[in-house]
Order: sequence, then structure tokens, then C-alpha cells
Amino acid sequence: MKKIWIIFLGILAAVVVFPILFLIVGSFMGKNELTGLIQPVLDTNARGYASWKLIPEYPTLRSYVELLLDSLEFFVMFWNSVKLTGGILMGQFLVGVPAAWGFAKFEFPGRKFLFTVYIAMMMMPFQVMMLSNYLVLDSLSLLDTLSGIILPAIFSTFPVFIMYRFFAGIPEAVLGAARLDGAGELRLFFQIALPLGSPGIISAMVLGFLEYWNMIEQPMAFLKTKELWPLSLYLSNITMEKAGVSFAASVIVLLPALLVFMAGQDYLEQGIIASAMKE
Amino acid sequence: MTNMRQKKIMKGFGIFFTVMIVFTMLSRAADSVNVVQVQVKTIQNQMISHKVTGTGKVVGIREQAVFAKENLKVEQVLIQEGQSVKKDEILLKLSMDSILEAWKDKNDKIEELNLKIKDLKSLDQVNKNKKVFDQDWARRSYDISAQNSSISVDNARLEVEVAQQRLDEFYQNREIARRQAAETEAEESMDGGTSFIGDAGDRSEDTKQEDGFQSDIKKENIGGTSGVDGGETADDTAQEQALIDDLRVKQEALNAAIAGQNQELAAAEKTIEDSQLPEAFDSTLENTERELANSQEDLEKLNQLLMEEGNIRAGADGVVKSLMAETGTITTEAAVAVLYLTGGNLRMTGTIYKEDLKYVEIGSTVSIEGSNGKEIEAASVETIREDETDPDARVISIQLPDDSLSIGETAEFTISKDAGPFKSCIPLSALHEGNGAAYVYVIDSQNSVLGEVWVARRVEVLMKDKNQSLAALEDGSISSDQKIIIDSDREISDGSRVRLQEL
Repeated sequence: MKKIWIIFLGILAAVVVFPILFLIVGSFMGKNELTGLIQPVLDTNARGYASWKLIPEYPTLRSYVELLLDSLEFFVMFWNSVKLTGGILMGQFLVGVPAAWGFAKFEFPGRKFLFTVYIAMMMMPFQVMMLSNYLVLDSLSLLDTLSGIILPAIFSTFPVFIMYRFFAGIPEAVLGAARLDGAGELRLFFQIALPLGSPGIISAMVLGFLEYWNMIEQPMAFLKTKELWPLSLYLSNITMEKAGVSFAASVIVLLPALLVFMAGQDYLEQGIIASAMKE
Repeated sequence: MTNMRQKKIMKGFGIFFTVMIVFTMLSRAADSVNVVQVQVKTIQNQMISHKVTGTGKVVGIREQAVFAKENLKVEQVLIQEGQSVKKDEILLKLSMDSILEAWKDKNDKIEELNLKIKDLKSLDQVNKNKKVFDQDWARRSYDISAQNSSISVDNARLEVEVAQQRLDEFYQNREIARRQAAETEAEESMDGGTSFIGDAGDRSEDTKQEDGFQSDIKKENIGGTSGVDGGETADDTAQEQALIDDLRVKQEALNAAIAGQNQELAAAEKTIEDSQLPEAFDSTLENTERELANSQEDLEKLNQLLMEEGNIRAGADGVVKSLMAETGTITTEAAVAVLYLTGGNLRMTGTIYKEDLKYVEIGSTVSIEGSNGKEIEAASVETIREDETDPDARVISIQLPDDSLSIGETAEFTISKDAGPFKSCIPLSALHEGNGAAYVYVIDSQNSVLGEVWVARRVEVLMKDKNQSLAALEDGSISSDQKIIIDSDREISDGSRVRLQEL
């Protein structure tokens, strides 16, 4: 019975991993081979269906060389993605951590109501908030700037929600002991809350990285200048001529996300569990 | 264990971003190299100066042909085309053997012509003498014929007279006999017969006087009739008839004599006229004499050639234009060489393309630069004609100032003609042509991932005029603020990313 489960799960895992394999194999294919396989997808005039191979006919690093040495646009967008993701995560760390700490450990009037609003805001998709975001950014003259993407994301409620769970789990006895020892609130925050809540902070950052690294809707809505576009929009501009480059780009884009995931895998699991817990 | 793994992952993160930083810089460097660098310029208001250039050769205007006696062998040619020669300089040398042979032949011919002339003169004299003799003989023949025929006629006339006389005597005798018979009869009867006879006798006498021989015959008949009627005898009638017949015969003989005389005289006159007819003109002698004179002239030339030992010399200072004689060939009546005489005006001939004709006309000013760098400005186009060897070319002749260049020298000529001014002039390097259309590339800013970048945009234009360096476009093809790519470090196409070259 156990073997059956293992085989079943293995098949499911292979299905899940196939797109990654698809990308890696495609990035080592030559231009002609790629054209023959996926032309029906990228060329509107072509007929038939796309097909695929698991082993390239003539493996080549040409796509990687072209991407890394002859595609300045890729690097511009890569660093745009780094700026956006880094800025958002840093902002969320600066804003979200104190907010979550406050919700978790401070008693003030309307706390419960505010937290409910936070939860409600978290549930709203981007399309709902897009118009109001647009109007605010326009009034702040932040449209078509990276700040216009970063600023709304900094105040995202989701990381607050994740970190809230971890901060709430810190025993009051620990905090009370610290206070008896003469620690102030800031000291409690920096020396008790941050170290003990670090799994929550990291998991929020990992989840945030995975979300904002692949962010596509906000840049498309608020960035008109192509110079500011992140990598997620680069891939949408791929043509048949640059199909190989797009596969290589996808693989390289995947790398930081993979590294982040591997680094924060343990915390991520905790964070996912925390987000699944009900108030 | 977890910390070790996280450290490795963080190290991998560091390596990844370091690699990305390095490739970012490499990619930027590669991009700066790959992007086409261009030079740009806006349209300008300028004149289009059309320059037609070419290379020509200086030739002289005055020519002199050098001739040599024909049919002689050329032993050595001492000059070549384009070579300068001085007066009396030896141009070529003829074979002495062939000259001597020609001299001997000419001498023989002169001797032969002399003999022929002598023969012709002798023959002419004989012919003249013969003609005089023939004329004398014809005149004498005429005189003799005239005399002989006159004698015959006189004799015949005499015979006629004799016969007439006999007939007259017969009539007289018969009249006498009739009168005698009448008298006798009158005596017997006094009427009729006498008056009848008398009337007949009067009538007969009148007729004789008026009509000659025919009247005599009538008279004779009448008389006869009268006689018969008067009683003449048959013997008388027969005698009368015999006499009449005789007279008729004599008369016919006279007529024949006269006709013969006329015929003989006509034949004699014809002979005289024939002898006086002019003879056909014969120019053989004159021609022979002329041939002799020519031969003597030729001989004189050969003598001079012998004295010159076969050398043909230049008659004046000049440059060899063309050389027809070749070593080992036989000279002809044509010139062995043609010289351009030095001094005076010069002419230069060169070739231009047919399509450049619109910029060149007779009288156009020409700038010339000689092979030694000497510049001449005062030259002008003299003639333009078709090139027989190339239908797409035209040969122009340029008149040069006196002694400006040397004959045979090669020089560069430039003919300029200005057009315009045109408002939209661009360097010719900016103009491209393809598929029958002219176009330029202008730079245009484009919002791209790399920011505001310059890209080349193809703009089709209409060209009004152009020369070797500038092109004039139709007004409105390009606006005055559009920057036109005039030069690039590599080939560009519509949409190519470009960057302005730093000067």
C-alpha cells in the first residue's frame, strides 16, 4: 500500500516538476529545434500543435551566452526586479514587523476591529484596489515610478498577518520577566520580539519574495516606462526569434526564487501553518 | 546542520548576485560595442556643384604629315608615338637596296618613255604629211572629174544639136518640096491647099521656137499629118520618124552625160571633204610626256633619298601623333607619320560619361591640372562628339592656352556647373537607394527597456539633384529639425538601435 502511495506521489511530483524540466531542456536547445517544436504557439500563422522533447537534439549553451552577454534588457529588468523586491521586503520589514508586534502584544481601543480590517484587506484581490491605488499614486506623483509599486506593497497586510501569529505565540511570562528586569518596550521589541519572532519574519519575507519576484499586475498597471519594467514583463515580450533566450531567462529567474525557498524552507512551512490558523 | 545549509544557500545567493553583476557589466560593455554609432546632420540650404572629371591627353592643333616615296622597304623606325622630335631629326630609315632598285627601275622607265615619245612624234608627223597629200589628191581628182564630165556633156550636147539640125533640115527640105508641090497644085486649083499648108507652116515655126525638141516633134507630126493629108510619101514619114528617134536618143544621152557629170563631181567633192575632216584627238603623246615628267620627278626624289642614304627626317619640331610605318613594311602613298607641330594653341581630348553631358556644354570653363601639378584655369570645351568605341561615352575636346602644357602630356580636367540653391541638401553618404526608391535614415527616440534610446527610421525621399558629395531632396521630404544619419560604423536598417558618435 505504501509503495502504491509512493508511486502515485512520484507521478504527481513528476507532473509538478515537468514545467521546470521543460524550461531547463528548452534552454539548452538550438534555435531551429525550438522553432520546430513550439512555432505553433508563438507564431500565429503556423498550424498544428506544439510538441516537446526531454533531451535536446543538439544541446547548446548558445541561449545562455546570448542572454548573459547580448541581452542588456534582461539585466535591466533583473535589477528592476531586485530593486522592487528588495525595496518592498525592506519596507515590509520596517512597517510590518512593528505593526504585527503591536497587534500581537499591545492592547488599544479598536485593535480587534483594525485587525479585522487588515484581514479583510488581505482578502481583497489587486483588481479591487487597483483604481484607488492608481488615484493615490497619481496624487502623490508616484505613477510610472518604482516607488509607486513599492509603496503600496510595503503596507501589505499579509506579512503583518503572518508575523502576528508568531509574535502572538511569544509567552507573556517571558515579556513580563523582561519588564521586571527593567527592559523597556523597545528593548522588548528588539531583544525579545525579533529573535523569538524571527521564524515568522523570515517566513513572511520568503513568501513576500516569492510573490513580489513574480509580480506582474502592478507593474503592468502602473509602469509605462519600459525602462522600469521587472523581469516578469520581459518574458511576456519574447518572440519566436528569442524563444531560446526566454527559456534561459526563465531558468535564471528561477534561481533566486529557488535559493530563497531553500533558505527559508523551514520557516516557510511554519508561516504557511501560521497563516492557516484561525484567530 | 540547518545553519550549514543556510550558509551554503546564502553563499550561493552571493555568488549568484556577483555573477549577475559581472554579466551586467559585460552585457553593457557588449551593448555599447554592438550598438551602431552614427553621425547625424540636419538638412541645409546649399548649392549643388556638379563636377565632371576625367583624364585627357594634350595634343597639338597644327599637324604635319611626313611622307616617304612609296613602294620602298622600311629598314628601321627610329621614333614612337608621343615622342618629341626636332627638325631634321631622322624619323625612319629606308632600305638602300630598295631605293637603288627603284632608282634603276625609274631610269629604265624614263628611257622607255623617251623612246615612246620619239615614236609618237614621228608617227604624228607622218600622219600630218599623209593628210596634206590626201587633200591635194582629192582636189586634183575633182578637177579631173569636172573636166571629163564636161567633155562628155559637150559631146552629147553636140550630138543633140547635130540630130536637131538634121531634123530641121529634113523639115526644111520637106517644106520646100511641099511648097513646090503646092505651087504645082495651085496652079492646078487656086484654093484650100495653100492656106492650109501656110497655116500649118506658120504653126510649125512657132512651135519650134517655143518648145524646142518636143515642139519639133509636134510640128513634125502636124506636118506629117498635113503632109499625109497633103499627100506626103511614106518614105518621108519614116525618115522623119528616124530623125526624131535619133534626136531623142541623143537627148537622152545628153541627159545621161549631165547626170554622170553631177555624180562624178559629187563623189569628188565628197573625197575633198573627207580629206578635210579633222582627225580624233590623240593624247598619248601628252600623257607619255607627263608620265615622263613625273618619272623624272620621282627619279629626282630617289636621287635625294640616295643622297640622304634613305633617311626620312622631320620637317619641323613636334611630337609624333601617329606612326603608320613599321619596320620591314613597304611604304605607301599615305604618310608614314604625322607630327603635331609644337608652339601655338594646344588641345586636350578626354572622355566623359554620357549622363554627364547635361553638365557639359561647348564653351564650359575647364580646370586642368597637369601631370606636374601645373593648374590651368583658362581652358574651355571646344567640341563634344560621340565615342565610336563606347556608346555610353562622349569625347570632349578642350582648347588650351598657348604653351600651357606639353604635347603628349596627360592631365586631369574638371568641369564644374552649379545648380540650386536647394533648401534640403544632405550629404550623399546619407542617401540610400533600393528597389527603385531613395531613402534616408533619421534618428528617432524610442522608449525601451533600456530607457530612451535612438533608433534609425527609414524615410523615403524624392531626390531633385545630386553630385559626388551632396544630394538635394524635394522640399518637405525631411523637416529641418530631423537628424539624418550621414555615417555609421556598420550597416543599419529600419529600427536599428543607434547612438550618436562622440566627436
